[in-house]
Amino acid sequence: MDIPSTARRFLCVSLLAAGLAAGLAAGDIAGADAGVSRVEAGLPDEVEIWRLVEAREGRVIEAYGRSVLPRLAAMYRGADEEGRAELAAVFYQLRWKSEELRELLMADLDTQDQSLRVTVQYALGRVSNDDVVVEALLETMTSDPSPLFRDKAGCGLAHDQVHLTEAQRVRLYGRLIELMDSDDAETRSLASRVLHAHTGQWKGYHAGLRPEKRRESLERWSAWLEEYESQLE
Amino acid sequence: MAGRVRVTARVAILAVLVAASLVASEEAAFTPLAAHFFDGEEAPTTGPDTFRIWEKARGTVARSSHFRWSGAWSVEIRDEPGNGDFPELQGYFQLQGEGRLFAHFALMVADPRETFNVALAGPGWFRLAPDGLAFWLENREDGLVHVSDSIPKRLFRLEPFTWYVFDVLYDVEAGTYELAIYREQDEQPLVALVDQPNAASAPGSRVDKVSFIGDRGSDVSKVVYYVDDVVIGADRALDPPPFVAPGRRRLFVETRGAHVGIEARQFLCFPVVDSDDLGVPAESLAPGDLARFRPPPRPSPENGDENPLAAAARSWVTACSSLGRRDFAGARSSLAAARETLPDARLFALTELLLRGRAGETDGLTDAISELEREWAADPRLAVARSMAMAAAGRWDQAVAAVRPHFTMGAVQASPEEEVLERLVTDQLYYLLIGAGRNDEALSVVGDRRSRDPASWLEREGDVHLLSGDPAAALETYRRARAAGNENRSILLREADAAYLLGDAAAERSLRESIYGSLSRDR
Repeated sequence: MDIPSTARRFLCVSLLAAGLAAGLAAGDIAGADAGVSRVEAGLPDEVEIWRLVEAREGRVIEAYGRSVLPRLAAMYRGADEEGRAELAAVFYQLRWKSEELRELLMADLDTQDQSLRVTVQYALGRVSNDDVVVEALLETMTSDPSPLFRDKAGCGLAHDQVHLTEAQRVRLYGRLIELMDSDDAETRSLASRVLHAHTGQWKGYHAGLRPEKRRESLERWSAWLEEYESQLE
Repeated sequence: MAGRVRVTARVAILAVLVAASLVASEEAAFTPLAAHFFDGEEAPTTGPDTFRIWEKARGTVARSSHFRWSGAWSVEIRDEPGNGDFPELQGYFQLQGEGRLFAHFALMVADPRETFNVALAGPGWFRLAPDGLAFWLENREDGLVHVSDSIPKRLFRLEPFTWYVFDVLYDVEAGTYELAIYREQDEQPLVALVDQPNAASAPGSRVDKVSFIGDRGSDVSKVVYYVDDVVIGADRALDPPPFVAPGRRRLFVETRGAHVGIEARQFLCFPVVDSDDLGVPAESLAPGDLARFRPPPRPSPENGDENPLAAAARSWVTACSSLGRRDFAGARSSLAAARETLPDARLFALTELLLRGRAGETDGLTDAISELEREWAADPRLAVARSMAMAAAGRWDQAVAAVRPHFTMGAVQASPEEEVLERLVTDQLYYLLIGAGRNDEALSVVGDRRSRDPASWLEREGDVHLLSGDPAAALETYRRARAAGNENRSILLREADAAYLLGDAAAERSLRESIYGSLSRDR
């Protein structure tokens, strides 16, 4: 199946600087968790890796296998904010699950550097399915003082939680349905749009409807969630 | 042949059931839209009206005689992990927007723990959305599921090297389906479901394709599975047009010609050229201000202190993008924001009319364009807009007349802005002349512009030759276009048309299969 990523990416990257958008839109590298290195000549040095990172050559980096991951992590620790944003964009492309990368990215979840922060919010779900990631993004989406960061946390929840198990996915949906009952209209809107991104459905919900209309829709969503949960038993 | 007889009998039974279940007043009918048994001495024909093969990286799609449900061959789909993509067999049929669609196929997997996906989808492709995924099966490590109402619902665990037959009866308007699954040699179905909401619970979701792939992006599947006897039908009397060439019911030049691309761009935003377009004095613009009106939209500053011109630019560019996606509500909203900031921007007023045209709201459109013409004088963009409205109404000769005065043979443009406008006019004129069947005049236009951009104008010249019934001239011209640097791969398909019309079946096949793939590598 052609799964057109460009259509779904438009709204979530439209507010990013062109360079970052170009980097993210370069496409995912389907992660090879088997991670066997395909490059006979050995790992590249840091200079070469930086060259590949800045050129968004995720496929070339991927070809080295997961053995290059410690080097990437070390580079992240030593880099400035701009460098860390570049590396986070590559982590996004690689889709390699890594507790080490998750910890590094989580440490930047409070940065006010716009480029780094948004890239980290997108990349976290690409390196981890730890529950703390979803919780952190939900927290950002509902409480961060910055509307940009709130919106982009929603994008990350909508499109980038690629390692979630089915059970985790259902828990996320449950949290979103709860948030669709929030008193805050923006929270309701973001939550419903994230849920729509996952399901393709509104079930008659809109964040701006009167409470009684929203309640009718939320009942439909709750019934839907119940049925989904029953499939996990 | 036993399998084939079995399949044929089942197809016939289902056709009868479909017919019998129709409302009494309706005429019972069944039309096969696609039937692929993958047999025969030569591999079946790929094309836009049959099927297409994707074999990217190390995955493969090939005929196999090792395992088949009927006849001598099936198709083996083999995925390989870690190569960044998945193999695909994608079949096409006439778009169905009403009535019921019947889909039947047989499938066998070597290792049921490996992931694969099967789907019926529409023009929205393989997304959970209206006109996207209608029916979706996914085999996972813990069993087969069908995705209904956006919920993966468990079916059962497949057994290795065991054929299963799937029958789907999809009610397009209701957005629901019936699903029956038979294990080989069993008369009773393993699964018999009715009234299942389609994948995204979207009534009216149309369908025009069926797809068989490995996994859908995680790239860890090593699945090997076999597909056979793919039959798609409709429960109404339809009269699909006949095949005019291998794999296609229309020549590629009619569906992929350069004029088709221009048609798709009708009623899209026109470029901003100068300060008059924005209704502001030229002296008020800073360097780079006009460039803001080119996509992509630039981000708004976090502190909310934005230059109003920049805000208007962002809103207008966003509106244009929405217009391209036919999100008319989004386009209107963004355009309204832009017009609030720059109410005198004549280009925004024109964009409003283009939006109406693209939305099909053509009543009074040409009158509204005439009103703008009184303010703008002889701006070619208005002439192009008028020609779009005429063409949409099928008034091709009037459309040509609207834009023709703005085309000058041999003209050389003095500035980049004039070049942009000149290209707009020339592209539109070319498209209109083709639409009006005035091929000789189209050739004159092409010939006049060829020296400026040989790669693209030679491609167009090739199309005109083909549409005019001169495939030899078309073939030679397409080759010259490629030699001039045209990298548009769809030229190869139009060369396939020319080769076919010249009677060169081998060349036609090779060119067509360079895009649509081939099952001719048998296992």
